[in-house]
Amino acid sequence: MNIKLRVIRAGLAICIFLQISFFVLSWSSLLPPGLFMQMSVPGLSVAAMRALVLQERLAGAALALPALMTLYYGLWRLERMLANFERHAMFDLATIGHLRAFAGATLLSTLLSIVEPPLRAMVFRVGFGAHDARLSIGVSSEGLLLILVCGLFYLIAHMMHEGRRLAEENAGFV
Amino acid sequence: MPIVIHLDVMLAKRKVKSKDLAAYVGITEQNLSLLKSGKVRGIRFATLEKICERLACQPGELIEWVADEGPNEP
Repeated sequence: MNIKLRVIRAGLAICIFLQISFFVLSWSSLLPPGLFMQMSVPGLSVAAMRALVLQERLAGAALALPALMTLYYGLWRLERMLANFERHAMFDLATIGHLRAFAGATLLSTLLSIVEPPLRAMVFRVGFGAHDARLSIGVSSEGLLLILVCGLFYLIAHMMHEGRRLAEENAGFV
Repeated sequence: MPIVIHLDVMLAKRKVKSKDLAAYVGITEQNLSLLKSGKVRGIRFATLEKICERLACQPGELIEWVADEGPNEP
């Protein structure tokens, strides 16, 4: 069990590192143009990202930051939950709270990432006069699936709470 | 408390030590002590069965219901 948890925690650390790296590489356009791998954000092509001026780049990154930070917070709470699992504190109130916070933060991050592209387009239009910035909102099937999974995690947290109540009740019997 | 546990009396009658009974039943001495003092929420049938088996008694000899003395009773 502990080995599996350590593998998952290592995977989580890699996930956090990749999320932050993708964010930095996308908004800084640090990757050379000829490289086999290019990065851009939803709603903007690689060429459009390269054409952004510094102020646009900073504004775009600032608008995208809340979703990343919320996701980071959710993943941090998930990491704390896994650490509690390693201590065999599976039904502790803190563990249940971590799962709930993870589900909530991931849900909020998903919603923020849905809202972010049209908001960015609006800021680019109004603030920087970029009239070619398309003002459209889109929800991907991955986003919808993530919302569903977050709801499921909420349900699991509720079940864990019920499990804890039963365990406490059972402890009173000899 | 309306339910009174007579386990300590029965242990004395049968000359069985708490430690031995706890080991026979498969519960900790601490839990047996809680049971003797009636500070448990409930008792499992399996536990009751083992106690009766070891002490050669009926459940009624271990547990007794005593009516609460209400303030308005004559």
